[in-house]
Amino acid sequence: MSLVWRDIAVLSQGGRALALSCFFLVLAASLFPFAVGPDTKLLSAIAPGVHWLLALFLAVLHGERIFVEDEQDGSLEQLRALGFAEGSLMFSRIVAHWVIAFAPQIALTVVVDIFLGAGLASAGQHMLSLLIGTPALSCLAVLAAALTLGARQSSLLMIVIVFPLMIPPLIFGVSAAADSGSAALMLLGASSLISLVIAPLAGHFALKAALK
Amino acid sequence: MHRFANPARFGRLADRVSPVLWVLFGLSLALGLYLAFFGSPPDYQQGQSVRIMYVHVPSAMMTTGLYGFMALASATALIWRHPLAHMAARAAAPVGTAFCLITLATGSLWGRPMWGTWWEWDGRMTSVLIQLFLYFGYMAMWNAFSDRARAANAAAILALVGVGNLVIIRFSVEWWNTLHQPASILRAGGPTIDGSMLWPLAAMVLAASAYAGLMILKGMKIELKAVRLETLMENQAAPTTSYRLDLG
Repeated sequence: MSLVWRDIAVLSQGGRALALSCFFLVLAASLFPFAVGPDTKLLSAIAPGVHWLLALFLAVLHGERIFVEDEQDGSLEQLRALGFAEGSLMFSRIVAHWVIAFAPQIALTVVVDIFLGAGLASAGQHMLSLLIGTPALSCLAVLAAALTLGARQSSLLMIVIVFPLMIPPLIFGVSAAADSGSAALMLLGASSLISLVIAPLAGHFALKAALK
Repeated sequence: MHRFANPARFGRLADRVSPVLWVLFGLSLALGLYLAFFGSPPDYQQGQSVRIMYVHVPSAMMTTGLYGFMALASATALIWRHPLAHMAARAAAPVGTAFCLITLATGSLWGRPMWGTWWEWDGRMTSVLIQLFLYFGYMAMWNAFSDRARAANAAAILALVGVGNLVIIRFSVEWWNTLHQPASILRAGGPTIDGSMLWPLAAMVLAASAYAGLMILKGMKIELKAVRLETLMENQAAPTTSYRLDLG
């Protein structure tokens, strides 16, 4: 637990990373009316997709730096020497990643929905789908970061390997955000739970190889 | 299994298996093509264009099969530290990618007259496209590290995560949107396809498998030579580089 607090404190950089997430969301959401025109009917129709695409980008944008600095200054090695297993290093990074990338997004769902003319009624549904589904995105982003640690052009490589894996949560997430009655929300929850099992496990071996 | 971990022994085995595979490939391809063009009837609905199936379906099977092979080889490499397994997985990737591209291209050509569209965001087509992305990511992973062992390890973990995800992707994409016909060969209760079409298809599947096997063996031999070359170059370069200050 102390590890989780430490990672959140270090990676949020005194709240600056969180503020940047908020700024990115408001800015990126306000680009959509320019891109597709200020037609609120169209904008509110694509709102679930906009939320989820922003979530995917937030995941990789924060994911690419999640290990790099701590690997370069030796902190990761130190944490391992303190007896933290690679799996728990993974888990605490996943939690920290989620706090930095997605806690702001969930808080700002209403703002983005107002920008897109989607109204407050659907904002709750959008928020719920993000809440249930974004843990899966954090897991996959952190796992991809662990796999590409030390690679050439690691940030681009990370995006290339992680976006295909994020398609199922994207599909379920958008469906769950658009339609409250469907099974999508449950499938979304299932993808989050599966990712929470697989990512620390696979990341355990990935980090072990990276830190050898 | 570790008996074949010796590169020399593997090389001898590969040299002995390859000619057999070449013969098998040539015979089944000739037979399959003959049956596909002359020995099988046109479909009562699709006409002559049904013959695209004899390339499309084997390629699709190889696309999935080779990904599975890649994952199995990666698991073998990670669990039993089998030195050749990483190479087998790496050699399978470009072959699988090629079959994946053929699947998409022939599917597109077939879709145009049958469904009236080159591309549709249909469940199965989309999942094959995603599989192509997974192949690309896997190969990119291999090329992204200067350290071969690190690349092998990262790529193997990615292949294993990918194969688990592939099942979920298949399911999710089909759940999302479906236009493609349901499976008609590998299904419970026997195939629904007529025997006159099943035989050329079986021959073509055999030809594609033999070809994939050949290419994997070839890829592994090239990989072994590359490793040997790298070691030789390192040993030769060692005296000169030792004077240079290592800034890395």
